[in-house]
Amino acid sequence: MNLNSSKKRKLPLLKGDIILIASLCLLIVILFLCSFKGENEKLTAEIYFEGELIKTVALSECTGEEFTVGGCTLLLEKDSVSFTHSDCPDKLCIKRGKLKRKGDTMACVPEKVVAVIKSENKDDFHIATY
Amino acid sequence: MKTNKTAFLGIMAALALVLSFLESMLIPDIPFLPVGAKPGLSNVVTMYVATVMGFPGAICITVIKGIFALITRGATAAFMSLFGGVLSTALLCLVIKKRGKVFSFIGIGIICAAAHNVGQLMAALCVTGTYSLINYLKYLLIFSLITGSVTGFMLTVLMPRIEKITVKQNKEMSK
Amino acid sequence: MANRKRLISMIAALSLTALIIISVFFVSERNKKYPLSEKSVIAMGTVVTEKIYSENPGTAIRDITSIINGLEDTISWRKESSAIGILNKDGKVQNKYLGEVIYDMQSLSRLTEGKFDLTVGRVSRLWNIGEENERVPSENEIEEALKTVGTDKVQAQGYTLTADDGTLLDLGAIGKGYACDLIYTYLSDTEAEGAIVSVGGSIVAYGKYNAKGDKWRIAVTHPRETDRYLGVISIDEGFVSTSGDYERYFEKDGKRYHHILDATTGYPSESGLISATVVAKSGVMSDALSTACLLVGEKKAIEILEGAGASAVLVDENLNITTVGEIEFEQQ
Repeated sequence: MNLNSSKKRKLPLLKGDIILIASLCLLIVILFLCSFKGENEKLTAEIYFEGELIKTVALSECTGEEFTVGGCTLLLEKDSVSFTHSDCPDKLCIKRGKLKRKGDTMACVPEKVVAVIKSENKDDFHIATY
Repeated sequence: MKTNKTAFLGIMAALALVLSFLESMLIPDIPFLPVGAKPGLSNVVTMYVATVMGFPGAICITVIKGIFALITRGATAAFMSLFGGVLSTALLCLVIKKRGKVFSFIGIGIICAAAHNVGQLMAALCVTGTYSLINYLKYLLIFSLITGSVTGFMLTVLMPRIEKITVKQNKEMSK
Repeated sequence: MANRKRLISMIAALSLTALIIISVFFVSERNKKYPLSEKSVIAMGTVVTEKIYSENPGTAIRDITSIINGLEDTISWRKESSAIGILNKDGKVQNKYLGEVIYDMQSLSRLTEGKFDLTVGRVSRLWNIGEENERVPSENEIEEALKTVGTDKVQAQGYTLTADDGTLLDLGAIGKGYACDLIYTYLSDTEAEGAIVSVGGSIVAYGKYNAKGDKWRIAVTHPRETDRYLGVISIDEGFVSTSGDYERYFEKDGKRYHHILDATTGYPSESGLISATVVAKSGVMSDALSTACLLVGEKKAIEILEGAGASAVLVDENLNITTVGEIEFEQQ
């Protein structure tokens, strides 16, 4: 039994370690904030009116078109969908801003319009047979 | 004392291979991480060899691991192993001098693990041509932080004991 | 001494690293797809999607569209001036390639015990499925029309084709595959490294899309949920065609009438299979075989496919999937 080797048993972290860990953590946080859209992830938007799917849009082919349904007008851009006008009283849908990521959803309840972002994962094939 | 070095390296390499084989058997695929991401227990061996023999010894271990991967798992696996291993070993040897002064084994372990994983990811990117794989990077870095600390800690604990044995042996041999 | 050793190990390490970097570039180059030129057009009454993978696509896209349009002039029964139109009207026509195709199709007719037959034209026109005047014909009408159907009603001798009075040929079952064959021949004479074209769902895969030579991946449409896929077939070069009861049909009184008619009964087939995707060595074969599978049912289909050296993915009415022959199929 070596009684003399009772150096500090807590982690002997040196200055370099601390800097390393801190910078790695920072890097990780940054990476989480910008999720990289791979070449396969093209966005699609689905628009529902009164519960029925009335339009599927391949957003990557959009350049700022407007689409009107019910009492709402939606703006379709390359990387987002947003409500720009609505007849509803609370205008919450407009306040939501741009829907950009897979799963982002917004509904204008009084007008019964819903917009959802889906990811058109090209599923990694060249062509389909039917 | 050339034979001693070769013998020593041989044992270390074998140890590294056994460790990596064991961990691939015992540890299943982890969610969020690409297939093949491992805790890297064999890095303990590489770090130790780097400490006592420097770069040449460490790179030998890495190359042997790569050859083993080639034989048992094929060219792609060997490519990934080598890429990650060389990057890891190169960085390892750059910082090993600073051991005790700037970095402890824990920091070095983290650097080793991170470099190895990043290297493997880059290799996978090239082989598959799917650049969206880079999404794994954040998860890999978190993973490396943890596993690197663990391997570093293991070596911190083991080092004094190994040194004691080596010193003891040297003493006995020179009697 | 130690310095020399150090130097040697440094050099060794550097060269190893260099080697690795070089292989990285090599591998990524091999994996890079050739530049893609793509276009979708409407031709031959259907959607045609052309994808050319090449540094020099040249005029391929335009040429392929012309080829398909030109084919209509040869085989469309709607055009009186086409070879088939003339055959249907005058009972006789000269056309080398057509003669060979008809001859091969007659063999297939015999294998399917008459269910598959290109002379089914008069019956097809009674139904007109997919057109504005689609209807369910009466039993009498079908009986009368069936009298003009049969492999004995048309003869192919060398370049000459003759057909009996009243017999009408309908190449709808092989038209798309025929186009695929022509496209393949055309592509062989170009500089394109690889190309994949869909003619209304019949596929021709030519060459390779990257230097590594990876296989083409072709998704199979789900027969009941057409915005989904059943799985992906991987092939080197080849021809893939699908026949299904969901492509063209109409519903009346709760019953679905699809466009694949049994030439022995005059009615849409009810063989138990609802979709057949066939991979074969020629477009015409893949097209014809896929139709034949749907007509004869699973058991007989497997026999015919194996005899023809083709492979397939068959789907029955309960959505059970069966693969036939050596085919790489990844189910979703």
